[in-house]
Amino acid sequence: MKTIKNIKVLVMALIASFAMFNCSNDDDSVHPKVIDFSGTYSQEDQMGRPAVNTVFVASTDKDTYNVTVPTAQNAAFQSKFEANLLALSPAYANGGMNALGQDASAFTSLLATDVLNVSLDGTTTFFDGTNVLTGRALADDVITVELLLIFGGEDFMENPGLSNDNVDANDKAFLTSFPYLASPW
Amino acid sequence: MKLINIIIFVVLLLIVSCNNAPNKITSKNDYNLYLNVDKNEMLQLTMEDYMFWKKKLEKEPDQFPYLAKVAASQSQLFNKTGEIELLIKAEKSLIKANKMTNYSKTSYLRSLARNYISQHRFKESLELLKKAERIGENLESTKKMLFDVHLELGNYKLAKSYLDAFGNDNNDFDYLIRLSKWSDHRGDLDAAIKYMEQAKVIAESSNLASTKQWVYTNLADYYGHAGKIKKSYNHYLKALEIDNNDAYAKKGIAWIVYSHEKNADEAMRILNSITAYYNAPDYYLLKAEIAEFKDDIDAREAAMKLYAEVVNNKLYGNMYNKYNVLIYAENQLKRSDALKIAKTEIENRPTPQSYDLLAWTYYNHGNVKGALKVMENHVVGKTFEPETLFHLAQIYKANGEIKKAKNLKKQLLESTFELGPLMAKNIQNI
Amino acid sequence: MAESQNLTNNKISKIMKNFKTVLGLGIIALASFFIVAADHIDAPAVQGGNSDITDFYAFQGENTNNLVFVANMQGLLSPSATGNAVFDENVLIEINIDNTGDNVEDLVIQAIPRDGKMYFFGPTVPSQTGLNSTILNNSTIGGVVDITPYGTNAIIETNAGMSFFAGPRDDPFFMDFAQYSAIIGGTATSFNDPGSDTFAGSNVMSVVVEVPKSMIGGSGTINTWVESKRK
Repeated sequence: MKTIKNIKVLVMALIASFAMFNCSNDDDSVHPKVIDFSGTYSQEDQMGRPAVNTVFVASTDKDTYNVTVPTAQNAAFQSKFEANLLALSPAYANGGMNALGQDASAFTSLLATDVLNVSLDGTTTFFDGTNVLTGRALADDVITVELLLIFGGEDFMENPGLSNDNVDANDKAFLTSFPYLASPW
Repeated sequence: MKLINIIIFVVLLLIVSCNNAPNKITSKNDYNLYLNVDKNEMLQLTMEDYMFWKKKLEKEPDQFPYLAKVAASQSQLFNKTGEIELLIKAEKSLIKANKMTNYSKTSYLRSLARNYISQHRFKESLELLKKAERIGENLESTKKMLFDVHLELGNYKLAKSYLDAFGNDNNDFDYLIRLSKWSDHRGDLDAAIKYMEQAKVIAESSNLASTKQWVYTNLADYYGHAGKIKKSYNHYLKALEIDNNDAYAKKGIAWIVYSHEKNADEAMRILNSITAYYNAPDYYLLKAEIAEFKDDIDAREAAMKLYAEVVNNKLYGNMYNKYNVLIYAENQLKRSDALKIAKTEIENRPTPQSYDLLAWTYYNHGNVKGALKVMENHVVGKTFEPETLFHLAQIYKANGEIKKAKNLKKQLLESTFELGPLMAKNIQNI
Repeated sequence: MAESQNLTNNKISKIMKNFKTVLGLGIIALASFFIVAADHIDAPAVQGGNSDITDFYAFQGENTNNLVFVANMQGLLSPSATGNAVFDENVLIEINIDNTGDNVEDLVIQAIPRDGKMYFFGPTVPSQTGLNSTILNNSTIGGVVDITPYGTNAIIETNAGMSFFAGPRDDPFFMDFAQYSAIIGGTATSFNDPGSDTFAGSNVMSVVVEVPKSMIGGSGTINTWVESKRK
């Protein structure tokens, strides 16, 4: 009697599971989520200094530039950058230089390798009047700095209409503490 | 209870549980909660997004990035409401943005090209994409859209060459959905489903709502084509889970309720819940068809009248050419219109489907020989769309090619779900 | 009788046919749903936009022994669009650190989103340098933080002297992008004064990580850049 009862239960259970297996259609059951970190991730975009890509990389080169490792960027793009710079800015004509004392070739050699140089020993800023390219802080007016280096000539005085976009600060105050960026609008 | 009784009982249970109402797939409980959504939060947010950029643009009209943002929200609003004015407004915004940037930004060129695809202005779309291809930036994206447009235009060799150049990357969502589309075009539905399922895996691991929603509804369509109606239904539900107001998914369910379960009233109830917030001319056609199924001639007439009124809006351009030919072809008063539009479609995109429209017009006008000639020259063996094959079967029959017609009939009987009950009746008469 | 019945039937059906034809109510159904389906398959906008990096920052922290990295994606989010903005879980954000001066990454910090959380691995030595990466989830250094939902206070996690954040923030970038583009494109010859901040009032999706300088070389100068990589 007891055996039969057990068989009953067993059969019921078997059939129930069979019925479920058979009828529950093809659709995915809910699995507990296992975090999957596997696989190879391939590069799509990269960035070091602000706006370099926008200004100096030709549209036909942008896709390539985004997947060229920094060590290969200078050889592949410096001369193109230099040609673009000379076409864009009168400040470098006839051996003209920027305020860092760089001519067109030296300046584009710096830019073509698109990495951000950051000091671990003190002030970090794109340019604050004293320190140059020691990092990039949130409040740095990086665009104006780049415009000055592109158009401003040796003393930052050339082409004044081109060397400042006249947007000098963010529209919301940054935080002094982590995460530093202002809360969203 | 004896063991044997138990087994019999259980086997019966099994049979019952597996065969209860084999035709009934849908359940109101699954989707009712999506039908009475009084607050369309997504639409509200998109509205606000639109207003945000519109205000910024009014204040600073030179900031062309705002134009692109305005256009993006206008396109989204079109997708959520079906209002054609918004698609046209988006076009105007994108034209402005492209003018301001001298047609040099490939992302803006692609956005406008996409807008033209929605408007069925494929040739203009192609010109923009060619321009973007020459400029280069984000070339891969441009090439993927070139595939789309060449396929629409019937340039199958070119489309295939773009597809082959994507390099067989089975981790690339954008590639897989196109491979799927190509497979469907070739009539290989199994492959189309396989690749779309692979794309689904990527969409799910990306965990981006809009991508998942897109892939679910497209898979649902394919499952429907393949007669896997339960799977189709489940995937429409998955899309609705993500976006309660996904009109397309609701329409898919309405079709299952109507075509598979023959429950016209319930299908109509679902459709009416959609048209409360989403309106496109083809919804009237679907309502007309269901009314006809119910032998409710008045309701059918009313729906057709509404369709005619709505589609009269010039802004629709060529978007409803196909429907219009099919309708006009059977209407003695609209004969010349049918012919004119069919020829326009062939001019716009010389695909087998466009030639089918011409053949079908000839057929309806009594020119059965002409119809057959068009079919033989441009359609036979070049498409696998059941609707086209149905036309072909009718034309074969009218030309006395009974054997060929019967062969197609066999095939078409497998597609009755996707063609609908009215069409199914007509197939029986072949 | 039979004949006249037939006649009547024929007549009726003929009348019906004309009636239908006039109204365009043919007996041929339109198969409405799946005609649209063919159009519906129009592909969505090609992906890729969600892997574009809009900005990268590296600066000394409030605690001057620390360095802060900020990587931003998905610029120009309006407030109402921000709540639905998410990180693509197939996109790895990788901060590269070269502390030997050869512009090859010696260390990386990886950030990868999974189901509402951002997982951080590193700074640690990558399994390979260059364009392809695997996730270094065996790294003992790192952390995990809930991605902050829009409209709530920033969720911050700390671990071993590091701090982590991921989620929407005000876009810290400011610039007259339109006028700049016009100048670069040759359609304008000078900036406006005042200029207008294209990014005012808009949000981005941010990843912020603060690390002790001792973890990335201690002193001297590093070269750093950020990459987005797709599975």
